[in-house]
Amino acid sequence: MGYKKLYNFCQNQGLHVRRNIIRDEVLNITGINKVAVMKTSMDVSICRGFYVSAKNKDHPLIQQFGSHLIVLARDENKCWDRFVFTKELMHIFDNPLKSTNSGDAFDRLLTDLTAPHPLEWSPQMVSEVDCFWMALGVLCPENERQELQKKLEAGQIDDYGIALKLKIPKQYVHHLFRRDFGKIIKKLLVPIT
Amino acid sequence: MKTQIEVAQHRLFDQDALGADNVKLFPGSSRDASRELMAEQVNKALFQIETGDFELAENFDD
Repeated sequence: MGYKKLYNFCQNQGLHVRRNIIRDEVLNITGINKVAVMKTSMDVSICRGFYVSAKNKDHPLIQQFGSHLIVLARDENKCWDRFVFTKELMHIFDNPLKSTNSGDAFDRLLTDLTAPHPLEWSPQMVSEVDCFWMALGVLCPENERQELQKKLEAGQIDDYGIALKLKIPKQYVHHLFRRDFGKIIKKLLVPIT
Repeated sequence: MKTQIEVAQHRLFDQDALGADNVKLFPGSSRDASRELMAEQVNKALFQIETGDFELAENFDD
């Protein structure tokens, strides 16, 4: 239900949905006190960021920054920074059954993320893919998406122009106009475990 | 010698470390990224955070 509330909230945020607004609404919906976002050096050809929900209250990092950490790459451009942050933020809504909560689950997730064509995804990998779509759903309100689709089909705008308007990576723009986009989002609004 | 994956598993999930109950990753652009390389990036980032070599992003300039 948490994501549905966020999705509905973002429908009225206009074409360029701001991260501060998304983050604050996620905190409002979940009752979580804060999410710490840290920027470090990272090889973005290998990894663009990650999310950690940490529970050891005695750990100095958790004492200082809280239990929810999002780590992003330094020097990433704004479009990538926005998308990676938003996708990782969506994991706050993860079903516990899809959480990566052990070394073995982490090992399997690494396999799924690096396998060219995995035969069957782990629940953790399903969550990775779900959160990709969830991020697209909040960064592009549906009424704006439909308007952009009309302009795209009329040749009045291209993928790059849409990426600039939404401030998301150009390589993900075409996903917004997949025939099954609405179906994917609808399924995420009423998740089945 | 421990692998990068083993180091990351300890750093993330040991109860006397972060005690994580959920970890998710955003893979990079390379299709050749291996499990070890991905775990290495997590380890490097966590090391930077533990040693104070990071910036906190509290207010996004969107």
